[in-house]
Amino acid sequence: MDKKRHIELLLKQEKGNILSSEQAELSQLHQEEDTLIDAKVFQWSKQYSGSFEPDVDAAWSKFQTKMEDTPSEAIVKPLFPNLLRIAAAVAVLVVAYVFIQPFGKSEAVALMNIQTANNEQKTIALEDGTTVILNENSSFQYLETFSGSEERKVYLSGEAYFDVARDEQHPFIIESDFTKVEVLGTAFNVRAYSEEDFTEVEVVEGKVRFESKDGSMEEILIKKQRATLHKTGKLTRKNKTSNAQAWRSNKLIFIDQSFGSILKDLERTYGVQIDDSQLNILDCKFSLNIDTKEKQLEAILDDWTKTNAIQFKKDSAGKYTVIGGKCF
Amino acid sequence: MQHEITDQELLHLLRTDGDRAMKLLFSSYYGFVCNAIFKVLPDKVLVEDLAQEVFYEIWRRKDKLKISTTIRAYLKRAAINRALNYIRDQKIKFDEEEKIDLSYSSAPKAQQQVEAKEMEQMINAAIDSLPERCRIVFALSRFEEMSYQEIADKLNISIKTVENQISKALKVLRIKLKDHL
Repeated sequence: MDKKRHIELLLKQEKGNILSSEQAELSQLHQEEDTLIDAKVFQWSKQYSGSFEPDVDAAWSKFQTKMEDTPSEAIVKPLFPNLLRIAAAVAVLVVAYVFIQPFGKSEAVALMNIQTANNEQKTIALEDGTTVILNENSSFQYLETFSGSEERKVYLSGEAYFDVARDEQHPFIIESDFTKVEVLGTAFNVRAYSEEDFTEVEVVEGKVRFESKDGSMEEILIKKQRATLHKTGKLTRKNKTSNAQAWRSNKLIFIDQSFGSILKDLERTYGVQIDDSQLNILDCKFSLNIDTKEKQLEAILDDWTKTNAIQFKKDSAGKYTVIGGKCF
Repeated sequence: MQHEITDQELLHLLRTDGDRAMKLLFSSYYGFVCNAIFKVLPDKVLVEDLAQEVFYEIWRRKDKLKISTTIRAYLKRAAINRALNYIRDQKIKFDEEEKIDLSYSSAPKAQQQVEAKEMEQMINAAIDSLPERCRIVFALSRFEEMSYQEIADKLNISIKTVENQISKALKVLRIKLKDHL
């Protein structure tokens, strides 16, 4: 008998949109004992009342530490402002007036657009004291001045290292294709190339909130943590820094890492594609330090031809293929 | 004099006195949110972690929060979404074989009428004993009233897999409860 059909009919019956012919079909099916039991189980299961009583007080204490730990999206307004608070508000107003006035004459603020070509890096100093180092093939947009806005908002397509000047009143927000990174003041790396299907954030210093633009996924990252958010919504987090910032430091460091993962970092650092499908030593582990300014990719691969008998070639499109090899 | 705080009052309070509003919200709904998740994922530690995330998200967005339904309905949906995202991120393989525990929670009383209360407990125990993936799919269909298509989309699995898991769940429940029904 057809179980799928049976459940379909039971669901219709439950929702009250079963036809009389289907009701007859259902009665027919219930002639068989097992099917009738299935129907009873199906109906009864709806009554499931499994539950547990969490310790709400303990949970609340835990939650409170979390609340204290995080800046919420806006400043909490006091319910009963006292004189001191009013005085502070007046002071802020006066200061705001002085600073905002010169820009207040509806002058359009210029949108700055900085781009880098292949093999090019640029350092940008923003007016708030933040430094941005833009990696190759990237573009970065920001408003000439942040004055008058609550947030310091910038847009990145590509990769950049940020050293954000601390200003708790004005969160610094980096928007990319599908992610948002929000900080108060820290140093970190963001990789968000439009042609790649992920955004990666690696924190050097401080605390960073990394989230998808639709708000469905988010992660708080601290020093030495790294998270990757894929377009599909999958978010992974590692408590170890990688070579994500090798483009800036010109240093690749591998400690007991598989050849496969080393090749991935080489691909990224040198901006090439490496086909490893014919390689035998993907899982062999290596430890090494590479100065990427001193040493070009072919020289690095050449070392492995001597030590581990791999072979490599480069096709006309610039794609590398590595072949064979032996672990020792 | 105490009076039941309304949704509107609570939402207003979130914007004016966030700490107090969170405490109220937490004490009124934490158990509710835990139980909503527990129905799908019967793992107490995990349930509490996910419930914390649900409330944390409200705290974080308290100034922008827009709720068009009741707070209760909103929390229920947020809870189930958290659970679904968790399940999806775990990359649980829904079409692989799972070990089924067919032992009885209590000795079967053949041909014997059992009290409704007792019956309910047996059903609860039988459902709680379903293998993890089976339980997830079954709960989403039966308790959350999601269609097979919705379940398949949310968990990123095929409708066929959803159907198979539901039939499997019913089979396990039938074997376990056969003598009591």
